[in-house]
Amino acid sequence: MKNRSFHIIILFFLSSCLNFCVGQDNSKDKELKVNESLYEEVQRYIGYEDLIYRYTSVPYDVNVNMNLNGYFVEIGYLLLMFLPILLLILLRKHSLYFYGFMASLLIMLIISVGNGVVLGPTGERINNDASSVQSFLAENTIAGPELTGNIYLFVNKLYKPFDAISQKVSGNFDHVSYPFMFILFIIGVLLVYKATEKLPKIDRYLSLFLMLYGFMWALFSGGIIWYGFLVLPLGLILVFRHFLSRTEKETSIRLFKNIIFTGALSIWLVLCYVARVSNIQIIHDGAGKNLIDQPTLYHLAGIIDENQVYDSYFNNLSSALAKINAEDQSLIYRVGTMFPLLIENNDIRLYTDTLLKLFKTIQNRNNTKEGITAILKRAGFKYILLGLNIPAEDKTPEKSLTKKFNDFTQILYDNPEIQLLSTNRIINKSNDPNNPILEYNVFGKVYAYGNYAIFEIK
Amino acid sequence: MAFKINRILLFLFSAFWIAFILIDYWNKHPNHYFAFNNYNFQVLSLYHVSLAGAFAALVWFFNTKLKSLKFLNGLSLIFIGFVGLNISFFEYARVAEFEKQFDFFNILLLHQNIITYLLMSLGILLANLFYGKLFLKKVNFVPEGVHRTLIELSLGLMLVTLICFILAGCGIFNRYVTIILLIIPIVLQYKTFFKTLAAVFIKPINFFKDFNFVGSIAFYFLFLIMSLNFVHILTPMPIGFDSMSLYVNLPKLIADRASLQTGFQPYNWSLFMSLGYVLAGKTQLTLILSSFGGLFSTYAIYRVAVDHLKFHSNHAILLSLCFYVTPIIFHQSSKELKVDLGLLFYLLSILWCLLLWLKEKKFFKKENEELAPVKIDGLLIFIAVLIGFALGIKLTTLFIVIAVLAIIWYSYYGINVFIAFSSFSIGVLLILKLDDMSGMRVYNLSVTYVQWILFFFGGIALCYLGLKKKEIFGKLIKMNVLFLTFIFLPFMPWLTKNIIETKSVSIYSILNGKKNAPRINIGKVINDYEKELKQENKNEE
Repeated sequence: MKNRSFHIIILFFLSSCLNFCVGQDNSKDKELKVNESLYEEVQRYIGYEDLIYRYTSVPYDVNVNMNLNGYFVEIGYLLLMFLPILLLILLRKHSLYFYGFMASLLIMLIISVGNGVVLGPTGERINNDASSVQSFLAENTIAGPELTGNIYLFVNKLYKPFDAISQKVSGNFDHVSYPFMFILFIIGVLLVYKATEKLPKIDRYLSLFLMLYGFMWALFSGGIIWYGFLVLPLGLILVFRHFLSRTEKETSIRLFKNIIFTGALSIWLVLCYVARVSNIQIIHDGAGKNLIDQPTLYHLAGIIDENQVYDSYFNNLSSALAKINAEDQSLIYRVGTMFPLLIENNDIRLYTDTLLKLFKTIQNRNNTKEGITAILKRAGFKYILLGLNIPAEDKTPEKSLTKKFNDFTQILYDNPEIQLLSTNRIINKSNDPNNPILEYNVFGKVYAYGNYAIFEIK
Repeated sequence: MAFKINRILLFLFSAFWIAFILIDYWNKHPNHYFAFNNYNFQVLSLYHVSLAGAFAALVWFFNTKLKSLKFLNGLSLIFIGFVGLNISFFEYARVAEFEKQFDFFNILLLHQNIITYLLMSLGILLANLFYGKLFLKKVNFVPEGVHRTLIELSLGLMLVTLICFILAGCGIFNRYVTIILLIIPIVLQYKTFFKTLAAVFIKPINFFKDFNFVGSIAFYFLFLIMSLNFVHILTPMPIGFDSMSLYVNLPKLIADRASLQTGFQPYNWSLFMSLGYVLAGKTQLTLILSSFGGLFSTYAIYRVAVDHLKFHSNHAILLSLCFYVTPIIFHQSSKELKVDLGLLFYLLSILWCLLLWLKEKKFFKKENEELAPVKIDGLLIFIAVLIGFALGIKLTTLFIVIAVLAIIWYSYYGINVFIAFSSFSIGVLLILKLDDMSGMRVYNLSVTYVQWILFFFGGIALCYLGLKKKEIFGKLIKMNVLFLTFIFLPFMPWLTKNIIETKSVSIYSILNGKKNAPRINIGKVINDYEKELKQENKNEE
């Protein structure tokens, strides 16, 4: 069988499947049970838009960090910027593929941005719906976010027909995403196959390898980058190989490739160098003066001991740890925080319930402060570790984790059976802004937010 | 004419695409804006640029004038590293205004500690390398003339981890036994050991012989960032959430109990990291071992680029720098120390070996009329074993199992079989519910149909197309079965451990073992509480 006939048969067959799936009713299955923990913890990486666009926007979202921000998810722009351009360069003599691919890139851009967010000057997230962006623009005149806001507003108009399509065939649940993604995969493989026909064979092997590996990652990993880390070096290798090579025959293309790549690469290296050297975690007066964490240097130089290192990162932590580690049997209920390493025998003492599943089970049976405290105590818990930044991690549209967190903190508030051992949150007990009265506590008017609290159940 | 229009469109579209991504990227990364806005190390950067320039000039001088790299050896590199670090420390202390905190003895102790950790980590590294060398001497599956360090390293690390597994499985994973076992390959190859030491510290590093200014400067900054990250992780308290909760905690638990921990998915890299606690009782050394993943991955990228893709060493070092300074990589190399970069090193080693295998079988030749005979050889077995080991680091390695097999099918049959095999395998992954890992399966209402359609469609197409070359098809199936068996071998100890723990053979139990946490029957606790409450109420009435 000739290649082309085989490809047509596959695509026809899969399109029929897709057509069948489009006709299915998505609404009747909406009561299906969703794993709440995975929904809150894992799916924040892939986003919460309509299912079909969750998948199709993965390449853009992951590279631009649309859903989560921070160094821990940042792989840079080089792959997103240059792999498509490389394919376009290779396909430029095959008009059908060239225009088809260019159109699909634009569609991906519209879908991703249409479902995206604009980040305000302090990092606040504004959903890309016309009213939110317009009111954001009305209040902000800072050049960067304003430009992005205007672009998003424009793209939002282009997104409308796509929104209508997804409302018809997709939603939170659907029948079409998987067949559609698979069709995209096969088209992608054929495109790469065509694009690499005149390149050395090793390029074709690497490209097909990358396509398949990348597709499996996109389908199965929920947008978590380190589940498919290999895509990063492999993509970079291909980009470097083709954009720094001198084998291109057309001078204008060769120059173009070299210039744009060298420019973007230089900007990228400077950005990364400054990011690493500034080493900024949070913005405060000393931000940008943290080449190496100071507690580490002080400890290496013998100026402070281990406990002081703990306290440097988390005020007052060592005293509470000393108390917890003085015992070796009592159980510890952990809601967030990163302290397991510092707790002896934590494999037999620590019960982790960061997504508050256990708490919700108890709450469903007994929703009183006294009852929940007594049940925790009966279960053997003596200490509670509480991460105060859990709400900030909650990216679900309905803020389900934040709600559980608030319910839980209400149990701790003004509870005679619960005693605060330590926290790094500071509250202001004064109503006079010029004369603050500061105290380490969890509840009250927050002066410094902090990120942990440790309680003892009496 | 059409080509001209396409070319113009290509330029226009590329300009639009680049501009759009840059604008959106800048918007989504306020951390870069803050990093620039709060940048306090202009003077330090000037020092480093000058030093990098001086280093580049030195390399150029050695290469072109002296025609010898006599003075560019390991010791001089360490010296350059310390110069870079010291300049950084002093400038940092000046900027952050803490220079008065440090007296002479503090500075001495700082250096002593850095050197101690450097030597300890080098010792472990050499022990790994010599296990690899020893094994390779006995069972040589590497073709002549091929660069061996990457294979020795990945092999050695695998063997050391196996030793850790056996020791921990027997409950004798303690300092003395482990030190003796680590020293054995060095003692057995003491002559090579001294030669290696000489090569590492004293002999000129030929690596630099093709470097131009760009390559030398890229190398300097790569070395600088690696050195800064190295010092950054010499802390008793890693500040990453996942490190503290799991990835450094698990090695500590293993060392505390001198045995394997119940529960958890297979944890080869954590077992390797636990050497830090077992040998020195130090979190710092554990973190260094974890950070080896990033360093080795950078090295593996360099080797893939140079050995297989014929990169010029300047481009390859620039590529390595570009990879290592990517925020997610430096984050996992200096703050959030995990196992993912360790896994990446293995994935890159697998890729390197796969490319070598394809090259040896002449699949990269332009006119490849005669196909290589289909049989499993030493290199392919090694690839399978590496995959098996990597599966023991993280189960997401399954992706590479399929990608490697698909490439092997492709090399014998072509694109149609590649598509057929991919469909079949993805069908299998869906049947195994791999998409449950991210919780996305439940949203895909057609998954049951899709998985079977892909499975049957792919399987039938594979058989139909495969049987066109009957003589190859059977052998290739046999090769695949053998390949999967060799993948299974290094993974088997973990399965055995989990079956012993759970006394169950369900897939979940086999993969996860017995849950490692206090067992709380909360339903019973609540029932008891309610009963007692009712009783109290009755008594009150």
